[in-house]
Amino acid sequence: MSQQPSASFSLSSPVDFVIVGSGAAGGVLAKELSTRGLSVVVLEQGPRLAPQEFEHDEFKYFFQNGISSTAPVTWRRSAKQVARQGAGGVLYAKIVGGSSVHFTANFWRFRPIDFIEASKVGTIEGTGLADWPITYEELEPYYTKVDWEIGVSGTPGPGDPPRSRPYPMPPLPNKSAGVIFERTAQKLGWHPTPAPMAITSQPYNGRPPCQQCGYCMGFGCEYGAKGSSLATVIPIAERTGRCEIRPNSYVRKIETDARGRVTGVIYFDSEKREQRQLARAVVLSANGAETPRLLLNSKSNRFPQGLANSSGLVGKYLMFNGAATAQGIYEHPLNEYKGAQVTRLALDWYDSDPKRGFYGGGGIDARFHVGYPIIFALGGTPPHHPTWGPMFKRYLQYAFTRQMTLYGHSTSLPVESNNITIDPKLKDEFGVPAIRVTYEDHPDDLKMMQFLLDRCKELHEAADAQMYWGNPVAVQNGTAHLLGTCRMGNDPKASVVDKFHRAHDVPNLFICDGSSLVTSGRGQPTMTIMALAFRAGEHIAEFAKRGEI
Amino acid sequence: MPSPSPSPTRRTFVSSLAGIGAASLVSDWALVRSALAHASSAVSQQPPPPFTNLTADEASVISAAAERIIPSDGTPGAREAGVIYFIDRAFGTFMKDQLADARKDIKDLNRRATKRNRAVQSFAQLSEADQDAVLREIQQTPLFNGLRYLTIVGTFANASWGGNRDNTGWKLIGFEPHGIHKPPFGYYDAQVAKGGR
Repeated sequence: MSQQPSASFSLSSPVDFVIVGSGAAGGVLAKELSTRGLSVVVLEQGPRLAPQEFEHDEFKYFFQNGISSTAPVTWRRSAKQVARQGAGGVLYAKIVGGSSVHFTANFWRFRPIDFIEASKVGTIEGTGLADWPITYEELEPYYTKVDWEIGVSGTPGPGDPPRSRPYPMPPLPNKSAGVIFERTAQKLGWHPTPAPMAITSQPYNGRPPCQQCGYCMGFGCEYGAKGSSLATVIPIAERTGRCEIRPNSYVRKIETDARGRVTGVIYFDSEKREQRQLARAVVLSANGAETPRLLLNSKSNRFPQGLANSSGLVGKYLMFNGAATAQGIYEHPLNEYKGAQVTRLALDWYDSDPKRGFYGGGGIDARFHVGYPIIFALGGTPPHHPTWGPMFKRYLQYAFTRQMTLYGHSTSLPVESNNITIDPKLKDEFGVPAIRVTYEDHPDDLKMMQFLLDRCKELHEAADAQMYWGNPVAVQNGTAHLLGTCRMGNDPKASVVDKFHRAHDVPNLFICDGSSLVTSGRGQPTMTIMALAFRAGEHIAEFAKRGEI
Repeated sequence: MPSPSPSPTRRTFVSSLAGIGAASLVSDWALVRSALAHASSAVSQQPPPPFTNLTADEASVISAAAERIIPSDGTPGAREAGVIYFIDRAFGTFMKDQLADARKDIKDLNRRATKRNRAVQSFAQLSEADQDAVLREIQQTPLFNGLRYLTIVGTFANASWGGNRDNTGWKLIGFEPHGIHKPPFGYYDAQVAKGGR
C-alpha cells in the first residue's frame, strides 16, 4: 500500500465535515463523504502506524498497552457506589483505524429480529428495550457494502438473514477447533457454520490473503488482510484529495454558536497545544464511551446537560454483550495459535425463547481465545491445578498446543442505570474530566450467559475433551463492546439521534458509532456499526448537497 | 467442574489490556511490607553478574524463586530462559518505581529463609525443598503473585524484553513463533485434509 499525498486543510476556514474518530464508523464516513465531493478532516487521538510497525509482541500489546487507550476510567456497579479506578476497564485502540485495527474480525450480520424485538417479544420491565427506527431490510444494502468494500469471508449458514449478494470470498481454512466443533455440534443436533470474518481468504482489492500468523485479536494486521478502516476505506478517502487524517489530535470539546449550531471542535495537537478546527458540520464517531463523554463535556449555557442531551439519554443504556467461556484440553495438538481466531460457530440460540424462562439470545464459537504463551501460563490452568513448580511446567508443555476455548456471545438488555457519565473528580492527562462507568448486567443477561456456558461444557463433554472447565458467569467489569449510549430513534424524548444519525437537538451534528445501537445484537457489533456508517454517509452527503446541514 | 478458575475470559483479557489485571499484580510489590529490616547476605553463586539494577545478592534471591516456579527439571526452565535478566531490566524500565518495594520484599524472603534454617541468610541458600516451603508460605500473597508474574513473562515474552533467551520458553511449550503458517495447523484439521474424520 503506497502512501498517497492526502489533503491538508487550514484550521480557520471551515471544512465541510470534522469527523471525530477514525475507527469502524469514522473511517467509513470519511470515505463516504470525501468520495462524494465533500471536504473532511478526521481527528484521531492516537498515532498513525504503518503496517510494518505492527508487532507480534504479546507483552507489549496485552500488558504494556501497546496500541490501546490508557485513559483513566472509574467504575461502579450502581449509582449508590463511589466509582473507583481499577474496578473495571474500557478497551479500545487509540490509533488511526481505531478498534477496527485490533478487533478479532468476527463479522456476523444482525438479523431482522434485532431491529424489532420490542414489538416481537414485548417490552421488558425495568429496561429500555425498543425497536430501531430502521429495519434489517433498510440496512441490508449497507451490510452488503461492508461485505464487498471491507471484504468478508464466509458462506451463508442456517438462519442467516436474507442477503442481496453472496459473500465476496469463501470462508477461511478450517482449523482443528473448528473441526472438533463442527462434528460435535452436528452430533448434538446444532447447526454449525463457517464463521463470517472480515479477513481476506484470497487476494482482494489489492490486499493479500491472510497469512495465518494468528495475531488478530488485540493486534494490528501487518498484511492488511484484516478489514480495519486503516487497511480498507481510509486509503480511498485520502486518494480523493479531500480527506485529511490528522493523528495525535485529541478533541476535548464541540463548540456551538448562539443559534445552537455546531461551529467546530477544540482539540489538543501532538504537542498538547490547543487548536480549533472550524467545520460546517461535525460527525462524532469516537466510540460508545468517548462519544457520550465528549457530548457531556461539551456543556454550555445553551446546552447545560451536555450537547445533544435534551432527552437526558446521552450515555444511558450502555450495553456490552454477554460473554461466557469454557476451556478444553484435547488429546492431540490443535495449535490454535495459528490462523484466524475463529473458524466455526453455531447460532442455534439466536432467538429469545420463552421456554428458557428469560429473555436473551446468542451463539457459540470455537476459538483461540487469548491463549498466547504469557496469558496461557498466567491463567490457563484448570481449577485446583498447581500454578507453579514441576506439575505446572508439565501442564504448560502438554496443554499449550492442545487448548481450545468455546465462547458464548449474547444479548445485553438496555438498562438506563447502566451508563457512561463524567467522573466528578478524576481528570485525564490533558485535564479533561474522565469517564465514569456504571454497569451491572441485567439478571436475564446473566442467565443467558449461564445457558450458553452450559452448552459450551456440553460440547466439550460430547467431544471427549480430556479436561474442560467453565469460567463462572459473573457481572462484567470490562469490555471492548461499547454500545447504545446515544441511541437512534424517531422520538426526540426517547433517543439522541434520528434515523439518519442527526442529533435531534443540533441540526449540524451527526453521531454514528457503537453508541447508535438501540439493541446489542447477539455478540459482534462491528459489522453493524460499519453498515450504519455506510448508510449514514450516504444520507449525510445528500443533506450537505441540499444545504441541509 | 464447578470451581472458579483464573482462565482468561474477555473480562480478564480486557482488564489486562487496560493495565488493570496484570499490571496490578506487578504493583502488588508496593503492597508488600516487611516488618523486619534485615541485612541481606553477601552470598551469591549464580546467576553471574552483571546486573544493571539489582545487586548480585538480590538477583540470586529472585532467580532462586523463579527457578522454583518454572524449574529446570530435565528440560530448560526459568534459569535457561534468563528470566533474571528480564527482571533486572524491568526494574530499570517499566517497573523502575517499584524497585524500592522489591528490595523490601527480598529482605522479607531472606528473613523467612533464616527462620526456616538458622544457618542461611539468603533465600538462595536454602535447599530446593525449603525454598518450596517458603514459597508455599507466601503463595497467597501479592509478593508471590508478583514473582510468578515476572517469572512467566520473563520465560514467555519476546526475547527482546530480556528473557526467553533463544526462545527457550516458546520451545518448551511448542509455540512456533513464525509470522506465517499454512494449514493444516493441527492434528484434527490434518485428519480432515487426509480425508478422514
